[in-house]
Amino acid sequence: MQLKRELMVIGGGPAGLAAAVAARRAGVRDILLIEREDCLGGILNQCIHNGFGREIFKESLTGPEYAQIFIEQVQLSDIECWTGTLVTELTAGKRIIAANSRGLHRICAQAVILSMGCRERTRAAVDIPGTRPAGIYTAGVAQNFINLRNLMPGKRFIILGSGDIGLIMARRLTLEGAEVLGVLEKLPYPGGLPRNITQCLEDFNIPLYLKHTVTDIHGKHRVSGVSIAKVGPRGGILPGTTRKLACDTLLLSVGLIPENELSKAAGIKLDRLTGGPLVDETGQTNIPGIYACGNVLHVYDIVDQLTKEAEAVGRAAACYIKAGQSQLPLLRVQAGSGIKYVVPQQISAPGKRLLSFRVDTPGQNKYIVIKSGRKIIKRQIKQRVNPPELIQLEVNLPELSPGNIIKVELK
Amino acid sequence: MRKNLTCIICPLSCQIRLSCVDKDIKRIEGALCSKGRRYAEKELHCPTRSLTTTLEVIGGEQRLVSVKSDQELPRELLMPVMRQLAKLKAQAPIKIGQVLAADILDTGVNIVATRPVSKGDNR
Repeated sequence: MQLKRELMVIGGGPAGLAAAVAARRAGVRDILLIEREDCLGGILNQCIHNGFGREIFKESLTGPEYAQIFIEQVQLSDIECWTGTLVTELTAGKRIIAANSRGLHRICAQAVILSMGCRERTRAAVDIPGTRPAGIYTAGVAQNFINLRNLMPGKRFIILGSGDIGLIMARRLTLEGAEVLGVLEKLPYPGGLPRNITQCLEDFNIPLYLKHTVTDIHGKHRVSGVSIAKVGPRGGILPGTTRKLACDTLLLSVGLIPENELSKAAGIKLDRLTGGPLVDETGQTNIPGIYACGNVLHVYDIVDQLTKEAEAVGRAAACYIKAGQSQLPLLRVQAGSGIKYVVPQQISAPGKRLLSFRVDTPGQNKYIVIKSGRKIIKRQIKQRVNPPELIQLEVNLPELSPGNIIKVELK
Repeated sequence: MRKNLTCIICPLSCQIRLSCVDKDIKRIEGALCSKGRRYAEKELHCPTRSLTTTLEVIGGEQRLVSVKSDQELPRELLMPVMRQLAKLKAQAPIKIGQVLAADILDTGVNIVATRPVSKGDNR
């Protein structure tokens, strides 16, 4: 038997919740939200620290509190939610197969919103040599163990990678009585926000080793230690700088990748730079009626921005359902020199458009230049630019000349 | 005396430069909003931090409930409060915002739940 829905939302984290509620408010009656875990809220459930919601709610909420606001909105809007359900297949025809304890389900929808979030890069992604003992975890897995399952993954930790998750775990582990010997970062600058360097590392006297990496993992059954070394200006190991540190656990916080296995199998085109689908300003992918929002699109650093944009995607999907069609992309948006990536990668309709992008290296007093073809349409100075901080600028595109390329550059 | 601080109030993480005489701020630069000055004053006299952690749950659908301090705690009390909380357990059902440990270590600060936990068998 095949079920039919107007809108299917795959993933019940902050993006899926916000998109589903916005679509309902825009008049979509028949929505099904599918979540792999047993409860809604996604990764926010294990992000028990605060700092969420400053933009939208003007206060500093914890992850579970932020999630709860949207879970309640979903419940109040009477949106059908299937938790404990895994989508195993998505097709370009907007049909899915989903598995749960009640069996396999085939469902087709007029529109689909992808909000599967992202996953962590592992040891294999960073090629650390050495043995394969117990005691090597990604930071998010350790966070899940400690904050949701009441399990402590080790006693003496080394953390590789200074992104916010690594920094927050350094503090969390220390509070829970573990010893964090240090956080290692191969780049000359930390990956996380400066405030997390202060409140997660400096407050607890945890050393940050910039330009350092793990070169070897030791131990037979359990990690007994790691070798660390200095990284040279070209990214290679500096000879003679290797030393061994005794520890029982290595945490990896080495980046996040949008989780797009379903998207790829459906024929959705991905951006090599973001790892997420290529989308236009409405969040629509190359398949009309399939939209993407949240970390599946590109990895955000602030959930408030993610929520606002996911809501807009929910409204766009509602328009598509009403109209039965959508506009096709006219322009491409590209990351020029000094820019890591830009989202959206395409523009379909004229008007004021918000571009989100990251620089590729930190800098001071830099100009962001946005060009349409050869013409400069926006120029803005930034006192400080930093790759971990997403930059958002609005550009006015009163008319679109098809085939034109919008380019964002850093000067 | 000159001092540099990173404001932790919001993700902008303003780099604040202070000139002070005996913990009195004479000059402050780099804070994009007025909260930065208040943060700097507190940081000089008595640094405080919010605490977020978990408490073990008895008879709940989850094993743990996430909690927070309802006000900031003096920074040096974070570890003593953690040791105190390790001795406590919370009985399900728990409502979001429910006080699970009142006036922790006589600070006047309460530890409150940041998620609901319904009754269950601690899967």
